Amino acid sequence: MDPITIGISGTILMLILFFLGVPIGFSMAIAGIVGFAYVVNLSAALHLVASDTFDMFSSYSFSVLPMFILMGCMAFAAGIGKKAFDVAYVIMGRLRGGLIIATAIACCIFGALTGSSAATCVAIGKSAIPEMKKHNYDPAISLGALACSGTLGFMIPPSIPFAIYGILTEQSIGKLFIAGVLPGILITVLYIITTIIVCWIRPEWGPPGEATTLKQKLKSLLGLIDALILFLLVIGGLFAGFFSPTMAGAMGAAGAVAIGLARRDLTWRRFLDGLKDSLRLSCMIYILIVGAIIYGHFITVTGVSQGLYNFASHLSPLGIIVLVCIIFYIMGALLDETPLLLILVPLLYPLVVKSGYDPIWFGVIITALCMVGIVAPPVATNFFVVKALAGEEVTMYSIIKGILIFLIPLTAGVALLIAFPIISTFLPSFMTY
Amino acid sequence: MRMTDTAWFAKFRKSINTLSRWCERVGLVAMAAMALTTLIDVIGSKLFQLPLPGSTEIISVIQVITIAGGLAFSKIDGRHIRVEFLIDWLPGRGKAALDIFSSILGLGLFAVAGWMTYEHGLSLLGSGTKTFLLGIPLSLFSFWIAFSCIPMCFVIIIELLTSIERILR
Repeated sequence: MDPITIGISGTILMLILFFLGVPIGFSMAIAGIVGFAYVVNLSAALHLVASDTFDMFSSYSFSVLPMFILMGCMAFAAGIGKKAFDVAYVIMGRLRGGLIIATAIACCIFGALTGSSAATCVAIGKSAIPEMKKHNYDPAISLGALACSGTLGFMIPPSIPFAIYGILTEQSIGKLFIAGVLPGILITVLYIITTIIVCWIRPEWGPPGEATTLKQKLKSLLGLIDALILFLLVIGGLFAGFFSPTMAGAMGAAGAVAIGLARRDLTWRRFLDGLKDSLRLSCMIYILIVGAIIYGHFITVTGVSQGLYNFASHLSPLGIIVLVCIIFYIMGALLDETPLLLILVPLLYPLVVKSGYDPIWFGVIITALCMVGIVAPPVATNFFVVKALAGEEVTMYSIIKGILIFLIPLTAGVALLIAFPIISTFLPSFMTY
Repeated sequence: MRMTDTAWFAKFRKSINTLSRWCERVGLVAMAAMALTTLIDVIGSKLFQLPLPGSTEIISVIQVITIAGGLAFSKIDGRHIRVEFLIDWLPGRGKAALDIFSSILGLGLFAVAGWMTYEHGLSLLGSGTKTFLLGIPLSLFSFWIAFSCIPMCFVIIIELLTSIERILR
């Protein structure tokens, strides 16, 4: 068997293991070990397990991940998400579809404190769903909006997908974070426009809430101070080159703890739960990364990536981006964002860079594509998070219907980001390091 | 009487949970230490021009303690992502059969990982490999990963036995 056939067989084995319910990290590692043993030898494959595991676990560049995960969990434990929703609700609640608009804005704000889309969904959904029920919002539109708005946690910095992409491609994580700001705001605006249009056509889907005075609105803005301080500390520090990404994550985590303690929102129990959650989430991601690295070594020795490169080099640059979008749309419906990035980025990145595209811009595009994947069933974390939050009385069909409506602005956002790279590259162009 | 209802199985499960919980506690302390070390480094370097010497080395080795420590309990907590939409359609026994298959593969993987990281630790010990600045011996951390694979293997064995019982029931 020639090496490329072995590489493809190994990939098919990995996909079979995925669909047989073997955890994704284990599947990648097993396919990588078996394949590497076949191509090189068993002893080398076994040693690869030890060296890859040790190198990965002790890699300083990866320490950015647990620090930003910790920051997100501590911001959640400190109740900053609820405050963000309360502010957005006071300001926007009076409008038709105001609660959905408030959800999108609150997700955008909380996304600035966490890199996780599921955490954003939970943090905002816990406050938003009861309010939406109380005001007789249509479950489809409100839950679909929440699932899609939660994805803003990926785009607005700090962002776990950006951190993983930065590590895999050796791009500046700071630049990637800054690059996500304008696209995140753009997608939030597209969600708001969609809500206004939908609620204009079907007013009964999003009835207006209680009116608030200007004084109440202005006073409510004080609730954003915590989020603003944390965002300025972390992203401002990164933008100014004052912190490395790991430092920024640790500062953010410490800042969230300090705010939680000062406001008396962070109890010892919640702190411990946040710490446990960060550790367990980090372990899951590290196992995925180790699996992907072992699998990546196998793919490298087979030359599959080179074969793919030769195949795709006949395509035009636009054709390559269209191919990337199609692959991400299909695979995104089947895999979570971390394995998706770990499998596809090493394969597609050289092609895209060779085509002359900006690596930072490409990072933004694939993060936006991950946002689509995270809400597209059957494997859609945000969809399941929202279903769990909404309870049994809401059908899965109903949520899918809402998600499909909000996939339109999300897809439009991806198209705009592809068509106008300046949206992603404008802010990073001011960074000198 | 079902195997999973027996006293020895309950005791076995409890012991493994306790061991995993202790490993996780080590991981939790290490995670807090990671953040604290970074903070000390930031405050020292930015405010007092006194960066913590070898901070990246300290963070790297603490990261090993953190992640390896949390491995087993993250498995107990069901954190590892699986593609479930196909197997959800299967009847109970079919699902249990696939869980057995998955557990056997997982057990093999972590047994190999534990064994090979132990070997790796021995090789690092033999060569006296240490971190560049602070001279921290790296073998200890490879041994910690190897040790952390033990509760992980036992957690998977418990899952395996539970799945076997579901088939036999």
